[in-house]
Amino acid sequence: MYLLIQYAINTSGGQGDLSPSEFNLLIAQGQNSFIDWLLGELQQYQPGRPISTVQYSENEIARQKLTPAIYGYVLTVDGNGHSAYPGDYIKTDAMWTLSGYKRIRYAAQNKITSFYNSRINPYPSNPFYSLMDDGFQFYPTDLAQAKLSYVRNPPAIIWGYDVDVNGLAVYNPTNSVQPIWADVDCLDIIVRALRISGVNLQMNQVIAYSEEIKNRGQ
Amino acid sequence: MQRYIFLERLLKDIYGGEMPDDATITIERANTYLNEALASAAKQNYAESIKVDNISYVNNAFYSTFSDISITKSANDATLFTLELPQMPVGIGRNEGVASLVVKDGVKFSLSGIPLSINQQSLARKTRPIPNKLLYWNEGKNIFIISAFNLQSYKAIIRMISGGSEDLDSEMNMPDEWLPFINDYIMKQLLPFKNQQQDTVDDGLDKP
Repeated sequence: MYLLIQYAINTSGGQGDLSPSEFNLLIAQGQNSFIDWLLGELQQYQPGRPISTVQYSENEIARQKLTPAIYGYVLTVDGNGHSAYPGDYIKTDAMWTLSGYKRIRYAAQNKITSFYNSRINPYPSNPFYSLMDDGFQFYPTDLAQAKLSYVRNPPAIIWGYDVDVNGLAVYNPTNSVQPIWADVDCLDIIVRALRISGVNLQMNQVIAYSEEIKNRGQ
Repeated sequence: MQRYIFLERLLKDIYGGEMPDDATITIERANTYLNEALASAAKQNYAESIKVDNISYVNNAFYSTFSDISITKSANDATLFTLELPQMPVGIGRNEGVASLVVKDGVKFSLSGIPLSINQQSLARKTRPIPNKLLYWNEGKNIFIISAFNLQSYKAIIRMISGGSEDLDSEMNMPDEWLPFINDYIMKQLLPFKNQQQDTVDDGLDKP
């Protein structure tokens, strides 16, 4: 990915080397942009039409692209019904009771009264949760545990390196972090990273560059 | 068919597939419509019987028997007793909702009580109770019985139009040919709700 971005920048009239730290910064933002796109970009909402081009999990393809970032987790709920968010939490995907996969419904703050006082679905047997600034708030408060499926911040893509005697950066796989994404999605991330650097390329151009690198054996 | 299975099938029809976790129509909510749908089916059956046979009746399959219902003596009248029905009787005909009332004392059973209309009960209250006969009428969810002997230690057995227990694991007391009718009835209640625009904006104002 580093080579490809460097090559694309140079071929597009950019000058100088892209340092590893600059690459790591660019690719991190490219990855964030990719996740934002798969979650449904709010910027694309129109007045009266709150729909983005790609909606979260709108079909199997969109869902499968995001799957490397969807994790399962068992939440521990304290005596007050509170559970902190996992450290890398972005968005809830689904929530169930620990046994039996009974769904735990989401209630926005302005609907808590309706959920809490329902006699059709009383909350002791039909638990629900709401989102607070510091974690989940569950009702009933004695839930103890809950199973969470959530979208998490993926590990940062890092091109790890050591500096040799000549002051050049040499790739170090031990310090590196590989992307969790499929190869085709890595190209999408590269396109986004290049856009941030000021190089606007279409996907097929990036693919063409990657083929050139492969053929030339760089 | 089990209530849960019937309602699960219905909700999957409404949602066009497996129900998502954020579905607002729950099986419990759909279950609240089931009894009134069953009552509506019984009423339809009653109306059809008049058209077809010129005799008013409700098919036996709509009836359920409820046993061991406690009887309470009235504080003001030694010959008047009350019991509470497990559910509100269906308002079909004069009093077809409650088909029969029998009291039992261990292994002994009485003869069926004689049902009265509201107009008849006022006359019956003025006359002396008939020995070994039970006269009864229902008001809402209660049944009042005129009896010459003390019924307080007896238990009542009621046969009435009912869909059975509201428990989701119970079998629906309904002939199969009426299931499409019930299905359509509940769908008509739930689909407008599902298509209603939700108030997603927390601005202190009701949705116009």
